Amino acid sequence: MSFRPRTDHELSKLTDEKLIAYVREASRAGDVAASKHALAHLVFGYRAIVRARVALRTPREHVEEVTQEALERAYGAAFAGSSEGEFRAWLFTIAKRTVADWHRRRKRRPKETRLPSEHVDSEDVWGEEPASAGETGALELHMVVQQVMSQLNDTHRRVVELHVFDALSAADVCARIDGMSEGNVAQIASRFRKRLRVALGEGNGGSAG
Amino acid sequence: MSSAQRLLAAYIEEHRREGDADPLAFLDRASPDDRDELAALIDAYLARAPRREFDEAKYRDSASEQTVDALQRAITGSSGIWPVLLPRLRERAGLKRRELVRGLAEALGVGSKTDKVERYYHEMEQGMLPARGVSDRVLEALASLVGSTARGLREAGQRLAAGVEWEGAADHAFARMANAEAHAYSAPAPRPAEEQEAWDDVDELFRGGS
Repeated sequence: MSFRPRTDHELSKLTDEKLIAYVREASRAGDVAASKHALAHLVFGYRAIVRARVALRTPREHVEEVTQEALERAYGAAFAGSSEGEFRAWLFTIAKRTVADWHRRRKRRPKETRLPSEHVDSEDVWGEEPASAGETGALELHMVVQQVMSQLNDTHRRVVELHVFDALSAADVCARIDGMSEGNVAQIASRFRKRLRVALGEGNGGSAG
Repeated sequence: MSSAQRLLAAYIEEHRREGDADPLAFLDRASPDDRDELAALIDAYLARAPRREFDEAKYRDSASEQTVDALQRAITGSSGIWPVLLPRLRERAGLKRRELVRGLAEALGVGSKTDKVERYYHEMEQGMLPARGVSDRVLEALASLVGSTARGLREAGQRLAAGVEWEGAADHAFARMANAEAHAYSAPAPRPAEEQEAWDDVDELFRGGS
């Protein structure tokens, strides 16, 4: 079957897995331009998200380096056929591992940069300022949210997803969930945030307050 | 609405409008008590955010374009993911290419042939040098310079080729690549005119296999 290059509009409608298959198909057909363009959709589509998630877990001055490494590892494995499961989940897993590897490497070479907030004359305390208050907590951010979400029933979880993470107004949430009042939405969201703060406080030894 | 929730809503609005938003700028606006909560909320939002719509103007000359160039060399080349891995390891080691090449040539005992080593190393970074032809000595020396392992480099050089073979060995484009790789491993392919010189120890190191 002959290869047909697709338009930007068509590429934007493809799932990640179909985009990856299309990149391979274009490469096999010898259409380097089509292969590269589809790859651009896939990389551009996730780079900013990965970078932002890395930024929440890594000192500012190392965010770009860690992001780049994570992308290369994840996309490299995807095209090598050694990635596991859905590409998106794989990408985020590799990003998390890359951040963890970076922290491990940093621990192995501790005398690198002084904490900006430390006394410059102190000889015994070295390291870099983490982006988030609790470094260990920062690595586990998503896990903590998932854990709190898992304690909610289906309806309450849906309310949190729509109101907190999709930023829909309480009225819009009520329009999507039968029997829900705006007061209930506010109450469910408030309870979720309280539980989240407690969970984060436990994870960080109480730093969340 | 809590301060963290307000900042999350503002973050989401900017992220949706611009296709990107810096979470640290929003964390800086949060009180110390709200910071961890906001970080967790932004992270959870990002985990759910859809793939960003492609924007040609924003893509041009961006970091994404550099990543794509390297990945494309890896996909179409014959050196696995070396085109993405080697430049990153070199940068992490704080070495310019010329410095790395000089160190590599010296470590291999061919310090007088640095230019030839540089040509081969360039081919490795460009995905043009079949990984199977590169000797363990080269990979060991390179690994010690960039803080990696010879085994890791060997796997990275072969990984993509293995994936391609698994994808469909009958395919003509990849079959050509595989043949070229096999040929280079057993009997070196002819080099450009300016490189037509006697097979020497540098060729042996980079194209003669283990």
